[in-house]
Amino acid sequence: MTSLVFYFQVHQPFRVKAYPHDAIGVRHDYYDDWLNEDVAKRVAELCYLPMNQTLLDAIERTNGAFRCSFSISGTAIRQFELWAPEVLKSFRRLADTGAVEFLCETSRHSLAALADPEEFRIQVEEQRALLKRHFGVEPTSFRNTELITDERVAAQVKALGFNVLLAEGADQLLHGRTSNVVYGMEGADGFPLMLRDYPLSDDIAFRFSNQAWEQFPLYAETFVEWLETLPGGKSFIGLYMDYETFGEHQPRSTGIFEFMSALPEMVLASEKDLDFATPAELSAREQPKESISYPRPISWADEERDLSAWLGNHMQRAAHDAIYALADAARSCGDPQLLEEWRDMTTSDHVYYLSTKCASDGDVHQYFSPYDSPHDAFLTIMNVIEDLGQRLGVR
Amino acid sequence: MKVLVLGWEYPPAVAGGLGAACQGLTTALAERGHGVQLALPEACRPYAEELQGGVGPDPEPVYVSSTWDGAPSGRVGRATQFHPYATDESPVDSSSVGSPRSSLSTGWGAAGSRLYGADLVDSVRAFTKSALERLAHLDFDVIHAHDWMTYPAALQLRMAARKPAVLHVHSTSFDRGGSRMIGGQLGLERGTIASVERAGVRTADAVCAVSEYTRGVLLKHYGARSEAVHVVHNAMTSNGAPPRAPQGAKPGAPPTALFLGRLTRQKGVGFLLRAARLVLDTHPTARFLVAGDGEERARLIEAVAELGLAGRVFFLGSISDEAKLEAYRNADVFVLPSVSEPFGLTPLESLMEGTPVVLTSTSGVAEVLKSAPAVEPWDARAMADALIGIFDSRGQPSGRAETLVKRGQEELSELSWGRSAAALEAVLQGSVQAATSRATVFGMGGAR
Repeated sequence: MTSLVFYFQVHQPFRVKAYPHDAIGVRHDYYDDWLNEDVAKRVAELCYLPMNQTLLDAIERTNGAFRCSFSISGTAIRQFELWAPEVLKSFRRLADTGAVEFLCETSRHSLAALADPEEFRIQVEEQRALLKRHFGVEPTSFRNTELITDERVAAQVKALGFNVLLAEGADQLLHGRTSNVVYGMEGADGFPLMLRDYPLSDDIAFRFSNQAWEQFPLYAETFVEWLETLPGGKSFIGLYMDYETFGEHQPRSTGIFEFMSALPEMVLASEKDLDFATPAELSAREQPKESISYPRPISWADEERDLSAWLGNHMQRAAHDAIYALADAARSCGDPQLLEEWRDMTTSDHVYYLSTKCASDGDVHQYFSPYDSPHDAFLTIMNVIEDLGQRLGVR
Repeated sequence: MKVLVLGWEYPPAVAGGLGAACQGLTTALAERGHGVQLALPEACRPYAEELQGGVGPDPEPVYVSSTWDGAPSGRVGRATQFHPYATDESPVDSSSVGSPRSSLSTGWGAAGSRLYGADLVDSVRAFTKSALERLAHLDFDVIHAHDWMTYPAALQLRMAARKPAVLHVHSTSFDRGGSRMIGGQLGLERGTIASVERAGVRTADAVCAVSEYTRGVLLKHYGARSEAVHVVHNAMTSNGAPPRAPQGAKPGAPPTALFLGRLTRQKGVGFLLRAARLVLDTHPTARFLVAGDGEERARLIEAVAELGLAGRVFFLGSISDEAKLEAYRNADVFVLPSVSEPFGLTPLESLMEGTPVVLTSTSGVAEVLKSAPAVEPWDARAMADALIGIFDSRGQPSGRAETLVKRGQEELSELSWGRSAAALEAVLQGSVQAATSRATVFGMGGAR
């Protein structure tokens, strides 16, 4: 049996507004509520609400045979609470079907696993509480921010009591091996890893509407044919992607909703042994077959699949270091509001916007960025950090 | 004496320091009883008209067309996409000239985008042509022309009207390139402007340089005749208020250094960053503020991150005149780290606001502010020590910082546009006399 494991990432950061130098020490309203509300509502309309309905219909039509998983960052959950409560309601309906698993991550979609293990633990506990409160679930599978994974991350995830970690099936890791079996991570007691099948994932997430692609337009029939002709010995296909793919990155007019609506029944009707599973189900069924080692942290971002999307240049590393340099002061300041404001600065998007990569990946960075340039973003972030530092009494 | 003044910027149409200097000298000449006819490019007119009921340009100017209606120069492409005061690395993008983004990124403001647009070469040609048509018949004794944009017009009027031309050099291609190489070696565009400057200073009856430093550049690198180049230092346009007393350090405030100016390599902010690194070794709470904008901005921001100065150096962008005064007053020291600065007005402004300054020896302003520490721009250690000396004495009665302000303000009080205009007047008169005696000897001009 080969199971399709869909995992959709839902994330919205609290974007920072223009915060010039003369605001330091004068005002502390760092976050752009107008913009954030606007984006949350727009993406709810374009993606979250219609796509949730599409999946809910598929689950009902297949009597729960279609299954999938989500990771919803804590910052996204809070934004829905503030500005789009109907999205939360719609996710609750999906949770109630029992066919949907919610993965755990850091509450702020942060790089804390790399920078500050104590902060990582706190943010994971926060996220657990959020998932319990909103969806009544206790997560057992984990995905770290942008699938960033190495031995240290896996060890921390294991210590926090999770059963399986989702990660990128990068070529530099696999060296020609398949991404379609469960691996055990060396250096973390063989902790189970479920890797992303990036070619098939990206066929949906990136290439779907690319008219220059020789497979354009991609129909569900074609996709299922590909699955049917895959060589044997595959326990699962990890189809991991940003949820905003559906209706936002790939607009409705591309036919992406029809594709996802048709796919479940076509997969289930196939003569081959194909079905759907959640990461928890799959990892309960399949034990790690082989071990895999991580020479360095691997992510799902950009060509490099490393940390360069967030920590690739001096500005990014300087801002990252400056944010975490305030961690101890923030956690011990005794002012919950101030701590919250600092904690939302740990969201990885803030350093992602500082990327100066050229060519196609740079365009992706700029697509998501609310700033005119990475340099403007850097100045803004450093101004905010300076103000936070002053409020925390750190010079 | 009747003086025909050719300007390119004039308040309120101001992009850099040129406009203020042109106004200071021109009005002071008029106050000394000379007849002054100012000619400005048409592009300045809307700015003057904006000041409805307010003070327009002091002497009523003739506006000379700066729109080229003839055949294009043929130097389209590189030459026309060149910003006269920018370095060679980031030519102004012709598609974005006039948009707010472009004025932001060049650091010149809206007037700068208009006066130094992508069509600058054609604007200068048009100005030259119509200046000849509109001005040659006017009654004047001498031409006084400010910076290279007006030199071709000055030289042609000199021939047509047989009147002496005095060129005023506020800035040279040499400064902007920060290099010893002149002429075609820095590329076509730089070569074009440098050759206009070179032809100008060699042909003119006399040349005024804004400093000994600039005079040296003209003699060494432009082949100007030593006897033809005179120094007329700049002054500062006073608003009548007395200089502010030096202020004590605010308790708890970190020591703060300020730079204010365009972010070009000429201004040497990169050298300031290296000095900042050294200052922070002993004064880890120090802050460095960089106000202004320009083509070096992105590179400087990256350098801040790379040198580990994030959270210590802050970029203020282009700031308003009010914010500028605030910035001077709040800083403990103002630094002008220029690699090659013909004069440099900002240190005078800083001293007026009671803040001591650190200069580089490659600046004209160091000649008039003799008491201020002046270091080699690339000597990071010396620059750091100069800053530390001021940081350590801030707020101390009669300490080094206070003494530097006091002495600097005394030197400042010696400067005035009236004084500069007196020096200028001597140069203008000298060239009128020389021309008259030449005319007598050769039987030219005069009563014909």
